[in-house]
Amino acid sequence: MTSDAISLEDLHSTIFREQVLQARRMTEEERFRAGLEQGDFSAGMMLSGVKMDFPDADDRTALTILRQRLAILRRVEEQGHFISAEAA
Amino acid sequence: MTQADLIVAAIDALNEAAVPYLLAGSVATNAYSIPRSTKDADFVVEMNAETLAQVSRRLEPLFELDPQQHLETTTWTRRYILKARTQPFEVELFLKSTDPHHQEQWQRRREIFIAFLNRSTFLPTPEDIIIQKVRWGRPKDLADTGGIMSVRGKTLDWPYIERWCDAHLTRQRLETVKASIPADLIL
Repeated sequence: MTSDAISLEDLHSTIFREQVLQARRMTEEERFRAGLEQGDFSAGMMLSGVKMDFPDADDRTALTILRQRLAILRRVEEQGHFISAEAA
Repeated sequence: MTQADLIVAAIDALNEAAVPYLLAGSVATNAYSIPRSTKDADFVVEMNAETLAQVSRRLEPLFELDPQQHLETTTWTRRYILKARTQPFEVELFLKSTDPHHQEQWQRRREIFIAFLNRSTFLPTPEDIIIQKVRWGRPKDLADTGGIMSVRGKTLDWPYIERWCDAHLTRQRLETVKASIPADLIL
């Protein structure tokens, strides 16, 4: 293992530990809320990305493209399958 | 409209149709773990065709019901998917199954009041989420499991978790996740 790999592993452990300690300082409700807010934020970012790629797309079309991308992501996460945008 | 607004709408529709439910999946996991973003809210429900129609009618302005029933293939649970009309967010309604662990999870569900939603809702216990996620065993489920173990630490009921993992033949997977977490975060 290279020293770079070792330092990345240390960094990963440090970040994970900090995330755990931060989550422990929060109430159940605060954690519940934080997850939903992260979801709103990431959905907004992804939609902005689609609109950059397809500047002429109206809101409905942009949402359809975003759903296709999410379907691909979901299959990769759940099954390790890559599929085309058309199939999604 | 936010994910929180959509979840409130779903809770209100289920309550109006008198459908007993359990809010599960990553939305529930966040209450016990390191919060992460999600694209759907999973509800386990006791409903029939009539109440499904009631719920989908109530949610019609916000969601489109996928008329096809889907199957979750680990526990052979049937589910319906409601797609939000203006956002990349889905509400999934899993029909409560006869699976023995699902039955016990249902009995042990906790009612909690979530002030920012101004609603009470029902969540599984953290132990039951761990058991289910270890059973699914996908990378993201195991990452969530490690998050719950780390955040809840020694407060978890380990004998209960181990009993079900033994019954599901997933004990080795549980131990692998446990071993990947720094010991001082669990003990």
